[in-house]
Amino acid sequence: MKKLKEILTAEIDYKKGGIILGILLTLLVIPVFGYKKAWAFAAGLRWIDKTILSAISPTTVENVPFWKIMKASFDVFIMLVFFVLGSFVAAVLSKEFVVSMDKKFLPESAIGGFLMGIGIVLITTCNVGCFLNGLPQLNLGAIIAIIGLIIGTYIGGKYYEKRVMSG
Amino acid sequence: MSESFIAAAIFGFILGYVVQRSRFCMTSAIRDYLLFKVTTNLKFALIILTIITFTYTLMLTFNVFKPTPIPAGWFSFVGGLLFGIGMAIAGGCVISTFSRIGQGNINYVVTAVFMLLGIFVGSYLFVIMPNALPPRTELFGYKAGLVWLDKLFGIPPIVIGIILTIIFLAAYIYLEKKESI
Repeated sequence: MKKLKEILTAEIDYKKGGIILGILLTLLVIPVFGYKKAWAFAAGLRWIDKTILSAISPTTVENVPFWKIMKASFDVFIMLVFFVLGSFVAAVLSKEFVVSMDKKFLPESAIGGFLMGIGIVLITTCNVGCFLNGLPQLNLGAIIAIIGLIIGTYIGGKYYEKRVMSG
Repeated sequence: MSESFIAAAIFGFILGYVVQRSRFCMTSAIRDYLLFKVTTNLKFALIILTIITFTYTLMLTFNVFKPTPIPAGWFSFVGGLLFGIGMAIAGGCVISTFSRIGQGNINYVVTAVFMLLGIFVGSYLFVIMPNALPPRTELFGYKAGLVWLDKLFGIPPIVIGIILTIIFLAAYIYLEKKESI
């Protein structure tokens, strides 16, 4: 039992982590394992938005073509919920779960999240969907988005660096 | 409950667990290398890409699964740019945002809420300029800009897949050797 806890709470280095995630992401698309698609969270996030909108303003869903064109997926939402749950259980078991908030960085958290949301609309997927889904499937849209993502991360990173330095 | 929901729950839980214990983050992979020359998460990403580029292109060659339709066009670049700036200033990509929510970090709850708000506001771009966005766009004669390199060049996915796999593996080995000197 002690040994099992040691295994479950051990830090995973990048070599082991890379191989584990590489194998998991391969299993994800193999039909026999049931999920049948590569990793991305955008369709799950769209499902949350669409569900809330359908409840409070059904006409918006009708009038804004985005909600008909772009897929909103309940099973991707389920994956997202269990992803958070998996991280929660890992954090609790390894005594790393702490409710924390850095008030100084709240504007960055909000603006950053908002820009990511706009980005998801334009790319039609998230960064995982570009790097670990579209790129290994040779999708040109993902490759173009990755060029933008790298330049954007450099620009945003420079700001982040200055912000951290200035406290 | 259908098979795909159960699979989504199991895979989601394991992925969340592994990401939390390994601290994998795509923002960190790019930002740490570009700004600080720290390569841990970049090497992490290169190992994953080496494995899945080979397995995905091999399976796509034999039509084992359907490729994800991601349209290509100006919007891909602009969307990537905005997303990149956003994830760098928020301090985490989509993976680490949701992983850190699981660790109790409220800042990332705010990031997720505003991400959902950004999707809602951004959806109006499809009202403002519907002709400039998919599915009404076209690239290289492909409707909605749904272009895959193998189809564009008329060769099996695995051929490009092997070349890319070698590039990712070589980049990983280069970084490992460079740091061991």
